Amino acid sequence: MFIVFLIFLLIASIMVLIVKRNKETFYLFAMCISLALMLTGILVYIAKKGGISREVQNFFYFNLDIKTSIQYFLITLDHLGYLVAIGRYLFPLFLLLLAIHYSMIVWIRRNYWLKRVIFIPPIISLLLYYPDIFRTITKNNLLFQSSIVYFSFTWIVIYIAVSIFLFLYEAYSINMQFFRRQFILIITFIFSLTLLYLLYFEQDPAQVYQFYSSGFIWRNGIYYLKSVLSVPTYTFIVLLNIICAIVGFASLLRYTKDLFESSKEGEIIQRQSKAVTMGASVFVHGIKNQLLTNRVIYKRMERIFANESLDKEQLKHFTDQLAAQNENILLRIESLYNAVKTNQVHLVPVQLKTVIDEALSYYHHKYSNSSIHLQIQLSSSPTLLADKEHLSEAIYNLLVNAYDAIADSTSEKGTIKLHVYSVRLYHVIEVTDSGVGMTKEEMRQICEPFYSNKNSNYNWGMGLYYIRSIANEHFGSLKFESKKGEGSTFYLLLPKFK
Amino acid sequence: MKKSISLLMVLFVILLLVACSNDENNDKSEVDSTEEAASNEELTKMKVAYMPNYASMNAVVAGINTGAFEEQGIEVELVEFADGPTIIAAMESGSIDVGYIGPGAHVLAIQGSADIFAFAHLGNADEVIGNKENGVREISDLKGKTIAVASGTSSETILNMTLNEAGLTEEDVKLMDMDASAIVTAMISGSVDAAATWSPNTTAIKEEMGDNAIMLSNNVRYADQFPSIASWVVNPKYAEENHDLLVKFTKGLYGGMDYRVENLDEVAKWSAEVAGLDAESVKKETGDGDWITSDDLVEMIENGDIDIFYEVQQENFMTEERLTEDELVPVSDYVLFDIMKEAAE
Repeated sequence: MFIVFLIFLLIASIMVLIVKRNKETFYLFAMCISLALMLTGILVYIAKKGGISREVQNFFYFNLDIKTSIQYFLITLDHLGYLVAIGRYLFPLFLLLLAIHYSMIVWIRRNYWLKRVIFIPPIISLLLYYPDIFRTITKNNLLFQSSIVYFSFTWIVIYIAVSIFLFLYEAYSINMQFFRRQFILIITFIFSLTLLYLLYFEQDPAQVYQFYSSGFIWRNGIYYLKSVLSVPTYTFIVLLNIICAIVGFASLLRYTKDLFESSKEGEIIQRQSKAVTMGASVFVHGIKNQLLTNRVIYKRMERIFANESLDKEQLKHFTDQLAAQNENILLRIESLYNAVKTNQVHLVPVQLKTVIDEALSYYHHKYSNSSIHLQIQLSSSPTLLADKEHLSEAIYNLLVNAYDAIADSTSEKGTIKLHVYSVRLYHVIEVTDSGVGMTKEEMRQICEPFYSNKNSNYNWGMGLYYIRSIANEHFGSLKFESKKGEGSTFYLLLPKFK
Repeated sequence: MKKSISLLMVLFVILLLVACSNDENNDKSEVDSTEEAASNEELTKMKVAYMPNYASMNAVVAGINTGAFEEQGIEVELVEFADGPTIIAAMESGSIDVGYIGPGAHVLAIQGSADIFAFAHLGNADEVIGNKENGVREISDLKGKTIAVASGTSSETILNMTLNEAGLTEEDVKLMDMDASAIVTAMISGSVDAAATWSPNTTAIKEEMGDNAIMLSNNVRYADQFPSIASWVVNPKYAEENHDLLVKFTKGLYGGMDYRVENLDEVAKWSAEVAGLDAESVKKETGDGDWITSDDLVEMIENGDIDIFYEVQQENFMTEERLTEDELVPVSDYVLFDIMKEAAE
């Protein structure tokens, strides 16, 4: 049972690392590996030493045969003890690194030295606990020996306490419900791993290789062999861990995708080039359609000229149509051009309010007599580094999207909420609509260039691609959540300017 | 929606597990309490540590199977360990009441970690075995070789005496500190040139290696210098608090000792059953010790032989540098003769 869990933990963490190669999956992978090293070492040690009941034995090893083969596994006590020591000292380190990585507390996040200093205690412990070194320096020096033991014990406790605090504080501080939910699932998994670690961390690993040495102080006796908990409790903890691991890993994949990076770069390029090929044909097709329409108009106009009497009114009607078509094409070309040239943004300090106001003025200009209610809530008007033109265009696009989503829905009356607020490192521009919403499949595609679910002559599918490019140019990101039939929320996250 | 359903599912499963485990706990505690209630009237439960070999098990298993412990109102629960020092550590942590140790672990008793409440026997279970293929045919070949040893146990003791005989010290060889089981694997796989260990590991090695394994020395070889004593030990604090119980346990043990002397093979079969071992290989271990009856023991106490055994053992530990001169103590400090005598009455 226990063995199966360890194997599961290893495979799952390796798989997550393969799927997502970033810092947090690496830290989590390192945590799983450290824990697995420590527990494997202890399991081997228990198999070799005995002293457990048959019931616990079956729980640990499944059956006597497995136990016996582990028992006869060839390893010196030095190696075994150091294996446990490695797991014991690396787990809290990676736990803390992960906590710091997730933490949005500016002082911690941007503290270069802190991230270096926390490596020191684990390295010292790992050096001191190297069996030969440990024996040499603690021989006939019991005071020094117990100092080392307490030193290691103390920093471990501090690391774990600080990490737990940081995780909880972070969970408490996330104000976007959507992210908080996923974050809580992740930390539940991290806590369940920590719980497992805490079951055995108390025992000093030097005991494994110093066991028979008369000079070694026995703290906790043979804690490893004492089955502290009953088998059902063990089973419960392990099952809890498995469930938390599955949910946690899944959330981690989503969370990292949503909050920290959009996706793997290579994958994006590949998908985009596919989208561009398809988009180009859609684009050309659209232009062709419009030009064909124009040809029909020209033919009609020619017919008017062929007539003896010149119907001026009719002619005026056709030229108006042509002018409108021309404007349309120009607009689309313009928006395509905008989307493509977004690598030229000029970031200067601007008031977010002026940007919002500009976006609103575009919006009101376009939908001057709309029945859709626009609700605006500006909690603050910070200064941020932005390209006013592009950013207001992006926000305007978000509003237009929201408008379209409501217009597409059956109920003509809807509400768009524009909410601006700050979340520690970011300013958030949140646009919520009560429109049609999206399916998961649609959510995956909407940011691709030329993607459009409206399939009309007025939409070229460049909107969200453009917004996201602008967000990225501002070192921010675009996030969204949506439910089919209930509406969507888009978050434009822009970093704070100091 | 989907997510909230899956969340609910997870919660449900967790709740179910909690409920189940609670149930099991409750069931168990009910059983436990009923058992306890019964045993409070009749039997006192004692957790007894043993090692999976004949020498360690014969007396206690015979005592259980002949009902000698039950007669004393004791229910014995056996817990398996790999070596003596671990058993002493287990007693310190309170998970074990009494246990059996081989010669090597006696150093811990002398240092005050355990009290000896019954002498078990003089053993002949320890051997140093060489690997012929790796060039070890006699004791002097050990120089510069890699030797597997479980330090702190009788394995280290027999190795030291063997090295001593050839004029070598631990510095002249390369020691690999391992647990008792790993020594077997190391020896069979040829990772080490020689190994010092005890029965049944010695038997396992010789069976697997056949002619390639050669016994370099055993306890009998050094019987006059180093009595290979095995004893029953208890934590000093436990001994103080449970004097009467210990006397009763020793009485049960005497019953087992007396029975096994006449029924070596039958007891071997019982022991094999308890430890999940092959009965035939356990039978081969019936020569591992000098089995005595309780009458023999009383005689040995009265004529002072036991006292001398333990004294010689202390001196040997000092020669081996496992004890300093300051650590030497009178034998009566850690051997509870009164219990042995009282139990014989």
